[in-house]
Amino acid sequence: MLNSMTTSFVNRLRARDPAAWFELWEVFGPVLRAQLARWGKGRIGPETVRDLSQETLAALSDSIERYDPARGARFSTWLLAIAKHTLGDEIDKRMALKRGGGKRGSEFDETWMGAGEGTTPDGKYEAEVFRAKVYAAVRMVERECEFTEFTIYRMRVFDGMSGKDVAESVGTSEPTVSRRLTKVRDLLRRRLAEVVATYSFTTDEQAEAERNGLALSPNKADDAMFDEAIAELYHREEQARRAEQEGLMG
Amino acid sequence: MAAPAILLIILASVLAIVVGILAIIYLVVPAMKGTAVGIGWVFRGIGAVIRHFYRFIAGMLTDSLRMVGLFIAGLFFIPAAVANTLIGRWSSATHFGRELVSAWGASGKALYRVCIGHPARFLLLGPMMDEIEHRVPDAVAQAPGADRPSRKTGQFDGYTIVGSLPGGGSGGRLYVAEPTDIKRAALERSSNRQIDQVVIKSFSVREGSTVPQIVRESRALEAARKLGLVLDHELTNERFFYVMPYVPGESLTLVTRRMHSDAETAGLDDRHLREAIGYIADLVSTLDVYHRGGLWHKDVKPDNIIVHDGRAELVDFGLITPLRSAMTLTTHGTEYFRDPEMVRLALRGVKVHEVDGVKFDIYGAGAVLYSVIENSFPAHGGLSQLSKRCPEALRWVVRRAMTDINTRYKSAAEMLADLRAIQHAPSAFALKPADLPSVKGGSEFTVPAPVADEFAEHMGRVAQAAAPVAPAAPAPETPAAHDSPKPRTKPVIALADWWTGRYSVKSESEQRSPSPQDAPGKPRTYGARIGPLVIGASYERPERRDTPKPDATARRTPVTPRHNRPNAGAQLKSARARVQAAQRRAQDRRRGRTPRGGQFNNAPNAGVVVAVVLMLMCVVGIGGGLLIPAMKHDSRIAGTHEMSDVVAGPALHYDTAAGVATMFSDINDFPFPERYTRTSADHDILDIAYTHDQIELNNTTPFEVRARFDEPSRLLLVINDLAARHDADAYLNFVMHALADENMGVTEDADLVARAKTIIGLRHAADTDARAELADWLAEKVDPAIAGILWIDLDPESQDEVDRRLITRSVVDTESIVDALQSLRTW
Repeated sequence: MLNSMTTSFVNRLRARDPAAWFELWEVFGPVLRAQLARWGKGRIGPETVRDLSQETLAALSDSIERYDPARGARFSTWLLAIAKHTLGDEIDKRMALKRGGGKRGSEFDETWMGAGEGTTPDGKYEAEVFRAKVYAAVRMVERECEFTEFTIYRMRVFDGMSGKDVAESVGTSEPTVSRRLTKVRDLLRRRLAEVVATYSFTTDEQAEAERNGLALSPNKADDAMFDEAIAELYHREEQARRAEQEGLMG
Repeated sequence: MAAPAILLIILASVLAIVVGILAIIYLVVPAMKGTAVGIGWVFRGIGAVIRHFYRFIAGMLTDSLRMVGLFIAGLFFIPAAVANTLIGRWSSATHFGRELVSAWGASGKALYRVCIGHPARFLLLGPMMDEIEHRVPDAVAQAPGADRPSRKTGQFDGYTIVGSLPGGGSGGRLYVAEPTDIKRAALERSSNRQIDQVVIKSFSVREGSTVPQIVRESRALEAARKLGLVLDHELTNERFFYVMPYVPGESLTLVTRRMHSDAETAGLDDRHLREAIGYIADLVSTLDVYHRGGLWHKDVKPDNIIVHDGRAELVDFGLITPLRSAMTLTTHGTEYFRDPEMVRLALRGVKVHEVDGVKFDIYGAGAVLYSVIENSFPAHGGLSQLSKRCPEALRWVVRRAMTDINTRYKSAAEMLADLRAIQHAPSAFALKPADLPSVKGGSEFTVPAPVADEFAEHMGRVAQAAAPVAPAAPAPETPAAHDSPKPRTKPVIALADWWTGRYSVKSESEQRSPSPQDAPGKPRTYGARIGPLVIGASYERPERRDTPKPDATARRTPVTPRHNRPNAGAQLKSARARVQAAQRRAQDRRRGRTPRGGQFNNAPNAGVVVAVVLMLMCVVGIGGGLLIPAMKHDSRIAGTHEMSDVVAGPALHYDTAAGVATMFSDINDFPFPERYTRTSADHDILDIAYTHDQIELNNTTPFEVRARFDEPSRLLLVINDLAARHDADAYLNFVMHALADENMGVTEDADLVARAKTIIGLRHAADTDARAELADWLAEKVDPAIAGILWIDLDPESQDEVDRRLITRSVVDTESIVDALQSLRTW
């Protein structure tokens, strides 16, 4: 069952709101690129990956009208299916003979979708989707907060500086640092809840935040764990994007 | 007694147990733990080695199979491409051609990995290979194009092209040119600066540039002209070009890479960090000038920043846009250096004047700063993590520049003040973000100079980029500055030159007590005028290096009142004198013009020389590698004469034109000169010669042998003159006719030729008369270019040689025959 935020977002997509599409691209573009690069490893180059990730969203814009929430598919699965279809089309185009050649369309689970190392492709993909949601929430908070407030949070949580060092660096007192941290954290919780709600089609997806140590309801006891989980996810996302960037740079 | 003894025993036992337990806890357990850790490390090492082997084997196997697969796939494309070409399906042929190139290109890469990449990485040379594999393709991709415009593009009137520069993503081609004298004079007059070399950015529809590219660039033209950055332009139906001042140097991308190569992996050292901050400060300073001139660069990135003589200059004005433009905002720019917010706004279709373009340039400057520190792109946008060594204050600047548009630096000047504070701080790492001017005291720290002056100064700097720059050193802190920061006062504008309208801005304090720094020749100290920077951030700016030109001064001479003017004749004389003086100056400048440091120079540099030397060494090495074994082989044969033992068939008989048959029992007896006594090799030559029905060497070979199979005889015509090559067939027919019937004469009758062939088969080489006929024919009728005839008789049944005769014009011809045969061996 879709919540109101998801419904609103899907409606914006259906209304061809460019901002909604750009938002989708900004949040999930890297995830799609990473997944397409894994699937097409050795067969498609970085530029093609970039093009395909854009085509995925174009295909998504066509399929959004036909989307049926009653089927209960996850948001991530929805994206993945379209990405697979786009890549399948690309491979078909490359392998297809001329008209009448008898080449059938590729199946989603063809052998070229080889398993990645470690976790299964789906598992890895799901983790990336969730990290992308967290990253989107962090970015929203960055936009909304004052620069100093967010930088304090960044120095304390992402850079791992002590409260005292942050206070000295910014030229304020430790209690002020603490207050600002709390403010940013609370805002981040709220935005994370919104992002997760927006980009989740199923209750299982909505419960992902809790499962990853990100309690969305304000709770003093969970603050440290929340910060730690955010930092961990942020750094993993940073690594993933760097890896993608290095791949794109050849 | 027993009781104490028992007690003692019990105590001793307890003590022993305690000691034992303690020993187990403090000795055995740590030892076991250490052993376990050691074993763990051993297993980890074994695991790493196994992984290393596995990676190598898997990589080799995968790439080998891929290489073969791609190569075979490419083979399939060849007939497809050829067939489509033959039936006129050009598009399909092109498609298959592309696929072929793609497949074999990928196959070549796989081959490279199999032969070099994987083995090198297996030998733990991964970092070395990474550098090679990244730098070589980069350098190739960044190589400039042709040094001359193509005929399609045409020439540029008034300019002599002296070289080219790597093109960017705008679709234009960049040439470095020297204006002709007339053009130079015009440019100098219009720009009021000295012009030595210029850059021409050319777009030609015939060379692949698109109309939108041309429109976009020409749209930016007016804006760039306003800055004085564009000197000249031309727009026709098919091409568009504009001329900009040439800024010598190398891009910040290369400089960054070099700085990081010199530094440790942790990041830039203090010296390089200060240098990098200086470059970014130059960039931001330039941006500030643009912004106050109402312009937005829109494509700030390391590739568009040229570093020369310790200064950074911003180039490429292809996207420059007026900040108040009514045009719709576009997404042009370079990914990673373009604010995502700009894309978002562009998608909404907002107009340029509805957004703050200054903020987007600031984002670009922050991204450039990030890339210089990290030697990488800000993949995360504003949230990108700085992992390399970097002062906390500088992190703050990067974050502030790349943060959300609403909380970003409001102006380039604000960012510049922060950068200058870090640059000139005694220790950048000791400086806290709280000490930065933007954090401490808002943005009122700077008193903007008149834009016109800044333009002139900026452009003067561009023109004189080659001039030496005084190293920037932090000025010592002044206690007075610490104790009493100057109150902010309203700036007062003082007119400096009523004629030009030039004015200066003075603070109230400056008016009250003129500073000794304002004395002529003294560097301008900005610290006194920049409020928050006064505290520990005072710095000196080198004196302006662009001295006004004499003619510029002359132009500013006030108009003489009418009643004081000389008569027309005197004015004309004076004007002529001025023109002559100007011409003399121009000629002097031309004669005395020496290549200034850093000017464009496409003469072979050290890299080219090294490459040529290495190439020569490789050629010599390869040549030596091929020749020495061959020589060894020959000497081995000559020494042992093994081949002479296996010479099969009859001996070679040698006849002269005089008909004196000199018989030799063995090919070794053939009167070759001393150096050609390698009979076995010569025998090989003969093998080569008569196992080909027709041998035609290339045009540069001065000898040619044509052979005809005519069972049971073979006849080889040995020609030692290239001019005779085309007549070889005719000569061969003559020979055959001569053999058939010497009275037959020259005929083209096919029947006669066939008959002659038959006679050749009937008459044998051992026939003295037949050979005499040939010898006579050679002597009398055939061009002297024909050195001789080699006649070989074969057994009709076994096809073995039964006789072999060499008929030449005279004994003197021996040398040419040998040379001809030798040329065959070379072939």
